[in-house]
Amino acid sequence: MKYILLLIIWVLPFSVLSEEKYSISGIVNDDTSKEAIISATVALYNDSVINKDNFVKGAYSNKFGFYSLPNISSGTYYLAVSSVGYKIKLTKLTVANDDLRQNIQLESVSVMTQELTVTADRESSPTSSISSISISPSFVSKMPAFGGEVDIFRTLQLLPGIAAGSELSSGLYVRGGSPDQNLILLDGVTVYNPSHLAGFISSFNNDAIKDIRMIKGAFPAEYGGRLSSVLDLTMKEGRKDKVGGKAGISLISSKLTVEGPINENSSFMISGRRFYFDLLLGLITNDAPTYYFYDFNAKANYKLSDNDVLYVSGYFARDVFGVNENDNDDISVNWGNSTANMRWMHIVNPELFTNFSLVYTDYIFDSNIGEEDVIFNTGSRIRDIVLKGDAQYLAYDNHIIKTGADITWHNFNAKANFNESNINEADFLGEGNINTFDIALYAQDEWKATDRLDVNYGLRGYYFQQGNYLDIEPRLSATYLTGEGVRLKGAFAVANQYIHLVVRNNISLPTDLWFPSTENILPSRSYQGVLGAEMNIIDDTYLISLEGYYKKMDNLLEYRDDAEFTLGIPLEEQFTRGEGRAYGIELFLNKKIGNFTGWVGYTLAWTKRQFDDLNNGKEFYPRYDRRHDISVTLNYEFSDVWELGLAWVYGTGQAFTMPTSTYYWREDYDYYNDKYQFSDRNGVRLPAYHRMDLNFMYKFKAYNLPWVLSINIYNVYDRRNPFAWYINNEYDPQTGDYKKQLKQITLFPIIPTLGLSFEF
Amino acid sequence: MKKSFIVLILIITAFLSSCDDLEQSVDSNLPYVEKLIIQGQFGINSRNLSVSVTKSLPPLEELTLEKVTIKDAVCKVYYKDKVMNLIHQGQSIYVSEDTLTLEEGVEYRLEVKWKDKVATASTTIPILPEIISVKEKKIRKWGFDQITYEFTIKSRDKGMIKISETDYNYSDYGFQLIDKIDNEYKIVLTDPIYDENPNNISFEMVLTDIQYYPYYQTRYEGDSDGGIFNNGGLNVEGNVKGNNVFGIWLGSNYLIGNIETYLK
Repeated sequence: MKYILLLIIWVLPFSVLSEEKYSISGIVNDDTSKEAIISATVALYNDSVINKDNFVKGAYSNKFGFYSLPNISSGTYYLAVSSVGYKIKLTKLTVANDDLRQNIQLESVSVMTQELTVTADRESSPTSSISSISISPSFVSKMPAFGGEVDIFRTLQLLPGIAAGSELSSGLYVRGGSPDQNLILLDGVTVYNPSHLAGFISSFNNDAIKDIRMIKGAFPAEYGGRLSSVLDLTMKEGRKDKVGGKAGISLISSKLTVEGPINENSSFMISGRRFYFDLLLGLITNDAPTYYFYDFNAKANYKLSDNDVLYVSGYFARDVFGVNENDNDDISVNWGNSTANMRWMHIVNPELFTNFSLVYTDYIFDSNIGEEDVIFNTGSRIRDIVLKGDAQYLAYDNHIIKTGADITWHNFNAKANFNESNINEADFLGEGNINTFDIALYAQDEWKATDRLDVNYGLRGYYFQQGNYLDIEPRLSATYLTGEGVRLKGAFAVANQYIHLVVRNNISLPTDLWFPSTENILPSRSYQGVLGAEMNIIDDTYLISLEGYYKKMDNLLEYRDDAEFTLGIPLEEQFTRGEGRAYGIELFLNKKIGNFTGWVGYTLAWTKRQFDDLNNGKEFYPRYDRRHDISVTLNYEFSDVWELGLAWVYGTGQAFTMPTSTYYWREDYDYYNDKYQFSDRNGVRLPAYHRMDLNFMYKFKAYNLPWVLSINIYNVYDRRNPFAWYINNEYDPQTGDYKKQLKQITLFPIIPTLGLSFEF
Repeated sequence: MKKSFIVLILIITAFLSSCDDLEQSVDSNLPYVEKLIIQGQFGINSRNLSVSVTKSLPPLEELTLEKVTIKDAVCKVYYKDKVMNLIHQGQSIYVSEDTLTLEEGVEYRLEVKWKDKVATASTTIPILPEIISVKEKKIRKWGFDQITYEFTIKSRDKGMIKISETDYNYSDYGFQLIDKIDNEYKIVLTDPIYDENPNNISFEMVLTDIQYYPYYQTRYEGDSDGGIFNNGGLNVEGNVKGNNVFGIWLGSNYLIGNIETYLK
């Protein structure tokens, strides 16, 4: 009897396990292009009637389109897969004593009604989506664009919580953070200074992008290295059905994208853009400086097996500026980014998904000023080599565990020298070289604690060699779905930043140097908390969301007021350290379905900085502080032929430093000089900024191809928005005296442009 | 057709409008903060203490000496256990009632009252350093070989120092910071010497209160030279304290000598 009991105890666990559990996994693709679909909703039902009662479990496809439903008993099920812009697909399948691989292909539909989706609105959305917004590139392409040049960053600036520094800048000022505090990833590769035209146009070609995700703060542990936000861009892989593409021409640039299959296991995408304003200007005058930019994106993938795909992608962008006199370039300035990424996606088994990357990124700035025989050369460069690996463990019903590690070697270089042709060698005035590396590790768990409560908790650890810094960053976010359908959200995150961009005069220029933390330059650190609520209303056609945030930032860097940029003076000594805080609330009303789509965003925010060495130690507002920020976007399809994109923005005037009085100052020999006393740093407000842009799209067919004629009108009602104010001494011909006059500089009046594009 | 026509009208209107001037006059007043402006600098050899007292005007108003002059300020200087009244003399200048002998190492405290504004400042005439040696030094400047002289000094007080040929001592550049006491510094004449006979060269050493340093660093700020890129919006830093007051109150020490005397 004892032996029988022992036998039962030994056999019992096996008997429990004898009710075998299996996984259903696969990749979700577009049925035509075969591009992987990110964040598709995958839900398993007991019956073909899709309702709560029949629901078994659900999941989301990841960035590679992979999904996994673990712990499924043998039986017959219905798998419902849906995604924004695609028809829902219901597939009957049977799990019979083995794991099941079920790839899904979704049919795209006309998505006028669903171009923009807030990920958080999806049923049982991952909690990582707090403060997260996903925008489709096709929505971006319909928004009005300056000069017809579609710009992802300019569209993101229309979202609540994201401000534009000035009309001149495409930089993203997210919840009181500066643009260098945004982690900008292109296929997982960090891109420094992602802009052309000294910050005016972002350097990402919308036609080459498949997915745009913005996390405005309190991001999960899988992201790090920056204080404020994450912009995660995914390039197209290249369609696998046929060679196709898109070409476009506008008044200032042209672009071409070609994609297609290489063979049945591989495809490519290559996209290029060239700004040719210099050529147009050259038709008018020979004296104009040369300026142009170009960029290329390329990506290829090769399917090694059902479980392995190899991706190779690259990005190359350059800005070229030169002043040409007497056939000699007196001034030439070039800057740009190059990145290359080799990524291997490997599905170890249905429960374990991995990807590994080897990344190279190179940002270079180089200027030459002088005559033919003597040239003054300055330059700076950042080169990173990154080795990283990420894994997703999907074996548990209520947990998705993500973990990863990366090691980055950085090389920072800055130099200045005279090149004299007669001595045939460079006279080095100074060169700084810093080599360092950092290591990051993270682990996070997306835990479905109950049917209503989702929690994402994780830790990120950093080691930065320069300065020997070791930091641990806790991350926590949670959402709770109430019975009334309101999703309550909360998040807290600590983030560190070890690489800093110190900007002069709040205007980001390619000359600005990225500078690593050192023993003297402490890492910047932010603490951010977010609370919010959101719900779908009026038959789910609208999403309304309210979020409040508070962000504290330590060890921020600015140039000292009396900073000297003389060669030989260590740059480190020109910085001063301070702190910042930002807080506000964001209201977002998004219409997702219907003849017209779009959103209304309102932000009430405060952004403050305090540096002991600036503004007499008093707190001040950075220039981009906006008390009120309103944006309205609209996309309306009048007919099959006409479509309208509209954007209207309103923002409190920029904080600006202006004279508040004038006085005589007695110089030597009783000479009196008139001078100004200025307000506190950015202590005066310029008038409010507002502007409306329109984009009329006329769709027609020619040569059997679909064409779109875009008529963009920037600043439709010709608002003279202030870029700057200054006091000018003007000669008055009537009195013969000079008179002080307050003057305003406006950058852009109403500007209409035409663009033409077609697909093939 | 109707839609196309509307779009065409919009484009034509836009082209015409975009030709307008993008720099325009603004009919708006800037916020105004009236400030009391104090300016007083004196050397050890002065027989009087004097200070200029004016007020600032709204930023768009034209300045005249009449408009800014303040005649009814109450100015006093406290030193040791004495008080000296400064009387309005003319223009913006207030001068001490009696002549006095100024001393190094003594603190002179200024107090100016006007309406609801009170400006205070204090300065001490620093003690001159000891000249240890002077050496002739050849330099190449502006493409020519030139001679100058390098002074080795030992500081006795902190301050801002300048040594120049007496004929070239009127400019306000060439000062160096002396931020340690009992420390050796090497100071070079501000300008090269054209006369090679040291017997003929006299020099002037000026040592000003160390409070001169922030003013010296920022003295060109706040110039009204117009344009958005010419002015960083920074103020000159003074050492006069008080609400809505600005200015400097600085004492200096002087030594005049001959190069030959110290030359080794």
